[in-house]
Amino acid sequence: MTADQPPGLADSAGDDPLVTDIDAYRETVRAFVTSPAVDEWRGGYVEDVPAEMAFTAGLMRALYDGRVGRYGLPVEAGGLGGDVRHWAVLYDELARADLPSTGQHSLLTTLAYPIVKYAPELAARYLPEFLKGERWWGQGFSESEAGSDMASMRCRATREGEEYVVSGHKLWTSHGATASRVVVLLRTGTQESRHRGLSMILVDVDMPGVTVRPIELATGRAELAECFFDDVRVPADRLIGAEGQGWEIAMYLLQFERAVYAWLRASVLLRRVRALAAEAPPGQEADRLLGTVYLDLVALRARSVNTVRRLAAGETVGPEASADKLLLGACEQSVYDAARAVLGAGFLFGDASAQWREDWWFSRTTTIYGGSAEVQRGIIADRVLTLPKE
Amino acid sequence: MNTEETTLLTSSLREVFAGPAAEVPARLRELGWDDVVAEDPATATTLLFGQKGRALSGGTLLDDLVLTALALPESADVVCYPYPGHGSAPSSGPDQLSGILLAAPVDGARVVVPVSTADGTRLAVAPAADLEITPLSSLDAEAGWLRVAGDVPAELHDGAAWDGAVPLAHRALAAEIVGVAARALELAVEHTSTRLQFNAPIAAFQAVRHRLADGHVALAAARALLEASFVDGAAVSAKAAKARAGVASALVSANAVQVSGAMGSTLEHPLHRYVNRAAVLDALLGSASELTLELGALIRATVDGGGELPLLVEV
Repeated sequence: MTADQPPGLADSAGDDPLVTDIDAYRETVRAFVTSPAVDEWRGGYVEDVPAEMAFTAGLMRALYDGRVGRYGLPVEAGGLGGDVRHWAVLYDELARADLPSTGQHSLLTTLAYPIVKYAPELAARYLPEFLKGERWWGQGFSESEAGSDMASMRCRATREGEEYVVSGHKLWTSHGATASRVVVLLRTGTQESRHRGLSMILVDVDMPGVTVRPIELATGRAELAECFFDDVRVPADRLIGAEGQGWEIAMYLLQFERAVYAWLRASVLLRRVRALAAEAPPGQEADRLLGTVYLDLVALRARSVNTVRRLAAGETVGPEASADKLLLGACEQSVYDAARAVLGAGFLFGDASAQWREDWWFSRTTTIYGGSAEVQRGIIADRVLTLPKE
Repeated sequence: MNTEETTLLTSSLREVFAGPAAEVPARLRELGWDDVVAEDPATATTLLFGQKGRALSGGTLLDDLVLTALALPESADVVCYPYPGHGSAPSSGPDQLSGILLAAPVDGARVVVPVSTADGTRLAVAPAADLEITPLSSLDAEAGWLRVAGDVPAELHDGAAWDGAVPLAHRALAAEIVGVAARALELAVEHTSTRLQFNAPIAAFQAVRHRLADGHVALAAARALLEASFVDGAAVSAKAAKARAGVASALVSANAVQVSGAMGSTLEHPLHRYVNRAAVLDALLGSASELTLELGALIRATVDGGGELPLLVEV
């Protein structure tokens, strides 16, 4: 565990008390998200992913203009200072006010800090538009032959003068279908160099040679995409960190996924548990399931709060965060399995439960993306329980 | 409390619990345990009951905790816990006392018993000699618990203090259950790391590793919830902590028994003692299953009433 510079804090805006006083920030957010300024996003559900992203982009803008959406990032990156706890509070208060946490934030929450730390110039140039909901980014790590075995990726970037030439294929790119830019992990070293020969580059999807093809999940929703790169020429200043530093940055990034993204999802799940409790038919069977998902949710939050706080304090979150990841996946599936069991035929049929069905299918992916549950168990077995190696 | 202090206290407690359960209170006094509790009750309770669980120590430390919280107007030495099957509520009604003692009372001891009445919980205090106290056949014979039956005394005390003591007991029991299960997981790790099959320790096989990892994660969640419950201080969170400790111990028990092979199911191997102890502790003051049901009903009522779900933690 190493004490690092607490992310964001050093760049706080002057003497704004909301930067350091989390409770005061919470009160401010609560006042804003319960105000009529954001009424048009309350309780909203949009079936189609591009339309939903456009819908929540409007909320991003409203939060930005109302200032509460700008905490959590340093001034240089378009924020007003603060740290990841501000985001955690924002997600909770959005959920409490029956507002979406936004698909934009599900990416910003993992991508922003690595950019701030490893590419401050890119952060200054491009994070403000992200915060305003004008443009957002996808995350392109996985490939068809590099899923759990991420270090075997082949999609390549070759330096030519002041440019990188990118060629290859990325799969399961989060929000790739609607993103303007994609943070791509690319091979700059030899194939044999495994995780050492990787670099991270910010590529725009409108650069010549980029083709994005949405991938529909089982319900027809297209949150993911595959990206084809056909000798795409990317300015060398789009390199995040140094060449060969990609793996290190990806590991840094994963801490935010384990901590703040998990918190975001827990906030979303809270909103859905409340909806389920309101819809559930009376009876002990439903009560038992409601109790089970409530326990899963509060256990996840109790675990996650320490991880979020440690990250906010500049500590490195180690292999034990795989437990957070496993608890999140279990909680996601527990909530939607409970919805399926409690609502019965009402889950399977009818327009009213379309969102439950979509969410149920999405929840199946939560034990796969970002490192499968099997990989997380392996990490705990190796590095926490120190069992004999496989 | 810092890590160094915690480590030191843990090692002192291990020595204390290595001795007979009856001597534990005196040894704790020698250790100045009251000062530790006064300084940091959350850590003190977690350590004390966690180590008690790990050592499979019996005794009546829980009684001491409950009796202090009850602050009864007349003296009582022993707590009679509700007979399991009533969730977190008393098993005794206005017509009949019933329940469980954690250890045989000394001569002349007086027993406090929670009673459910139309006016809510009341407290009865009766001489042990007036009660029918019989051995209780149990999955965990080693625990030495006893069954209580008897008539309800004419005078009953206000029971609000009992409702206030139950969350303290829930947290202590959660800590004890986690302590028991943590040791069971250690035993399984030890066994699978040394037992060779196909020329490899069986803990090198993925199916075994994943069962152990799942046990670890369940315990990590239970510990986090217990910690949050101490900060939160509410009855709901204490209930959640005990329920989740029970859930974790059930998973650890099942997985530990499986990966320990036939050896794990023998009298010779110690694993069964931990499996049995965790199970009977889970039954006290509401099992995981009962508390889950109670929490579910509460969640529904809260949402129906337009209230906020108790979140237990904020950043």
